[in-house]
Amino acid sequence: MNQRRIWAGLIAFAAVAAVATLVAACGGGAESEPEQTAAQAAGQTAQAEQAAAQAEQVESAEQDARVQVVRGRAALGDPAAPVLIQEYSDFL
Amino acid sequence: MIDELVRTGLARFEYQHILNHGPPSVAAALATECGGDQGRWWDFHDHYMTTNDFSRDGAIALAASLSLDAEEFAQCLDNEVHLDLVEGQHRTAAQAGINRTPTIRINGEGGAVSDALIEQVLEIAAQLESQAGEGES
Repeated sequence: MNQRRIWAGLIAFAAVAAVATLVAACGGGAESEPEQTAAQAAGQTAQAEQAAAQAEQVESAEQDARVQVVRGRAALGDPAAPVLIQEYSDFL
Repeated sequence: MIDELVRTGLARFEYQHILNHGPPSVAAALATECGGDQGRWWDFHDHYMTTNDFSRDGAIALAASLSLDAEEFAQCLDNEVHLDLVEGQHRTAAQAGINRTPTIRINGEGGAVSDALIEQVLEIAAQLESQAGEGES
């Protein structure tokens, strides 16, 4: 899903940039201030989305690693966790 | 719910053996610990809970089906390698007055699984999450 968001952001940015370039060319090369602002805003949005997606990926990877590390014999979880849940059980 | 608490680092979960049914309970507990010797405690436990065959041969067959070393597993069972561990857990629980199964204790307190106990877990989780939120802000 993160990759989809990145691609969607990049495509949106590319489309806005292309339109801005075309308009500037048709207007004799003189790009108006509102067009520049729109292009910059689209670029910033795409960058922000990309950064957020990367942050989510890092967070997810860290959590996965944490879960793997704390999966021990007959116990699950961080030994330093504030709550200790104990199940007393008989198979039969 | 417990899974979520453990995954988020709020809680640690521990399993303790209770041996209320004598030798069959002991054999089943030993089998799980022998699965643990080969790094598959939870795999063995989860599959074992779904079976009705707690015999020696049944445990060995399950071990083999999970691709454990069946010969090593059988030796572990026959030599009762983990007898002190499982009997010790049962004894400690009995001394604490725990004799019903399943029993859940939270930070040393609790009892048989009940709505009140689940409510208690949820309250603790909410408090911890609230504290974590305050710490981050």
